[in-house]
Amino acid sequence: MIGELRVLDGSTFMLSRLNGDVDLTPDSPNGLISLDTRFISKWVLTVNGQRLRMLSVNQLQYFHVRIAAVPERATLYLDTNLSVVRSRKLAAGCLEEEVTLVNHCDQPLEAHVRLEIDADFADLSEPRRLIPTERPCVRGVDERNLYFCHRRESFQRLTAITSTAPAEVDSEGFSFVALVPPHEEWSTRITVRPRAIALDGVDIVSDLAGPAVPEFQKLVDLRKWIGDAPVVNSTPEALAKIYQRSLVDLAALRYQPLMLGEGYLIAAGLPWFMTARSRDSIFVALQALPFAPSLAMATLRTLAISQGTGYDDFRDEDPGRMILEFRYGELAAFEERPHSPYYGCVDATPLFVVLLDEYERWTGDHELVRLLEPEVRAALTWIDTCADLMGDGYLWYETRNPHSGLVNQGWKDAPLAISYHDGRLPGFPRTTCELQGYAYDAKRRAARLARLYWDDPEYADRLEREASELKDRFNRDFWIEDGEFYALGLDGERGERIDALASNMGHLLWSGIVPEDRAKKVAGHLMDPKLFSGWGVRTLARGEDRYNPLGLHVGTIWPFDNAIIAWGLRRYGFDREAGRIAKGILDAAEHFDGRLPEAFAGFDRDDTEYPIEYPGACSPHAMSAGTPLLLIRTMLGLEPFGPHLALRPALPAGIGRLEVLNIPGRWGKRDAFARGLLSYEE
Amino acid sequence: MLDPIERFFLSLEPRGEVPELRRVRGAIRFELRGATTTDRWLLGFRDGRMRVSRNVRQPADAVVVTDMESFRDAVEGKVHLWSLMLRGKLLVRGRRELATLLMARIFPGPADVQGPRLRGQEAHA
Repeated sequence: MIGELRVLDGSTFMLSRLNGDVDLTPDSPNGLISLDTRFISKWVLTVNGQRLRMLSVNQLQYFHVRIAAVPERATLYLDTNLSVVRSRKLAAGCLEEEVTLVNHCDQPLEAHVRLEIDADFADLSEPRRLIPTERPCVRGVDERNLYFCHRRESFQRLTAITSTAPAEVDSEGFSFVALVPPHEEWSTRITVRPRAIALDGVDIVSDLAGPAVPEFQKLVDLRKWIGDAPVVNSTPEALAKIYQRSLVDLAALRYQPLMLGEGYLIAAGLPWFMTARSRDSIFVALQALPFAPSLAMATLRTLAISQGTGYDDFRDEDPGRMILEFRYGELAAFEERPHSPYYGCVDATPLFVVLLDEYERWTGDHELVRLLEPEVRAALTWIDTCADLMGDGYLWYETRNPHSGLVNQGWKDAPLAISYHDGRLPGFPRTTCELQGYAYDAKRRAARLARLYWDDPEYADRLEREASELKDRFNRDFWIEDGEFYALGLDGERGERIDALASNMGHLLWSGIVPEDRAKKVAGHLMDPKLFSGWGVRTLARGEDRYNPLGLHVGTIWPFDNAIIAWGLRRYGFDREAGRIAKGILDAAEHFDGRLPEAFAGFDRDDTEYPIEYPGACSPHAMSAGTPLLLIRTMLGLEPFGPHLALRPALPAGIGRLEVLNIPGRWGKRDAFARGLLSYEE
Repeated sequence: MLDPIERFFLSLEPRGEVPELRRVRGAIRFELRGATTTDRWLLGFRDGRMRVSRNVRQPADAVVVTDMESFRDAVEGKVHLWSLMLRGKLLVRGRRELATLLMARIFPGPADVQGPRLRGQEAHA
């Protein structure tokens, strides 16, 4: 079970039990984690030898939580004369925990307070496979401080812990004797500073995780972030609340690694992906364009500076290819994992082009379009050369790093995510259908940019011609006549269509590669009970051999996937279907207190009434936090047309009113209003 | 025979215009520490072209500090600068994103690469 209590600051976070303690189970990601490294793996507070029982938790800010607790033995029949408050904050690059004991009786109290601490420096970058490795660790103790230091050659990670109240410090924690006068308090503040030490003793945490920002500044930034975003009002109010929650979660996941430029990036998801990932950043930026266009700019710039230039088999790098992600832990440092950086994804490259065009349509920022011309050309060249492994005009993938490269390189990148209807796994090279849609869209959009801003109409003509040929070819090679749907992908080794029915074809509608006469069939499949659970579209249809309602990419429902599908459905005029998906996902969001997880189970809505959690799902998860934003855009039919913002609302039943005020864009600021029906009988 | 580091720096100017560098303007100083001396290279960019000078005292927008041996490995494609940084062997100060840009743009990849396995020819043969 992933930690129930979280404080978060960009790519740094602390996960613990509800009583505030961290004590590890083998696969738990609990602890204080920064730079993919666990700087605190044990953090257990006892009072007079007793653990604490949580009474209430108050999440004051995403980076600040307060826990009220009592020693465990207090019960209904045994009043406690002592309570404990733990106030935990992530700010200024540190974890700060203020422990306060409150004496409720009229006698002075003497309490023995003990904080047990450990640091295992585990590398959390290997998703879902925490390998317990004994890492050598040196402990140091002085009057007020405790240090843990892990060193491997020149790689050095250090945890420094200090207390304000006098304590007895030993190599496993702090002991305090708290003398609390009647009806008064005792407290101490314990500060943990994670450090990454480089040559000359310089700490490089801020280079990688962003500068240390003090608490007041964080509050100012948060207010500005929310103040700059449009205001959403709705009836019922739930939608507006979900929107608000999404905005705050995106704020919480923002971070500013100095090595990647000056703008804010969004960490992909807590706890497994607290890093800049290209695909996640691109989708979040797309989702947030009408609300926070600055994310798109930072994403585009970051991707541009790290675009591949040469060949590197270990990192799956090619010239023109966009990165998948940067990692900061020990495995990346010693090249035991390829994430320094890793390029093993094929969707980010065309999607980079799609985002640039969409960004320009919203903001009118020609400057960036001109600046990034070389990167866009390199990206499109990569699509036509290195990615066309079969020489047939499609994007393919096959890792060149058999030890630690990714087997699947689209968004469904779990090792068993892509399979035939009968469950067989396809050979390599391999590809999935939505990738061809992205490439088609990228070419058409780049053609527009070439014509408008790069003064190269010939290039534009060529791109349009290629896109049109790709569309014809795609509709010939991927369409499965019997079932009347698009194959999940192609198997380059066997030369066969991968005939599973999956959500991927929903993205094709968004990309516009589907002819009108086939769109109806695709929409029909997406809304069929095999794929649509009542909450959303499953990643893989019920009835496929590998379908599992709790399988990450083979049966669960991904909110972001659904938002893209709804967007696509509206593009083809399936307003009602788009509305059903939007409503289903937003209803699910309500059950998750407004915070959509990375994925949830694919069980039928009628069977469970509540959406069932996927164990181990990231939450908050950036693309899921962005999902309500894109759903709002989709329901309102917001679309830039030259200097104007067009509105073509189609609200699903159950949303009576939706208004978005101060939508930023090339038009300045505009408002959008829509009315719908609160309920009706079908 | 030229040292690989010298060969690397001297190869930069003749590359001419690198389109992706057009939008950056500035200078990076590389401070390469040897056993007894520190070698300093200044790399300026303007309009997509690079200019290299050695051991000059000029202000830079970013400074990259590392040891000679590590840097030699990097210019020979044996190690990625990002890994060196994570290992604490390389330090970037100033405008750090300039260094990231260069890591991707001008440093060579590994020497023995296979590259993508293109089946095109076989497929069409």
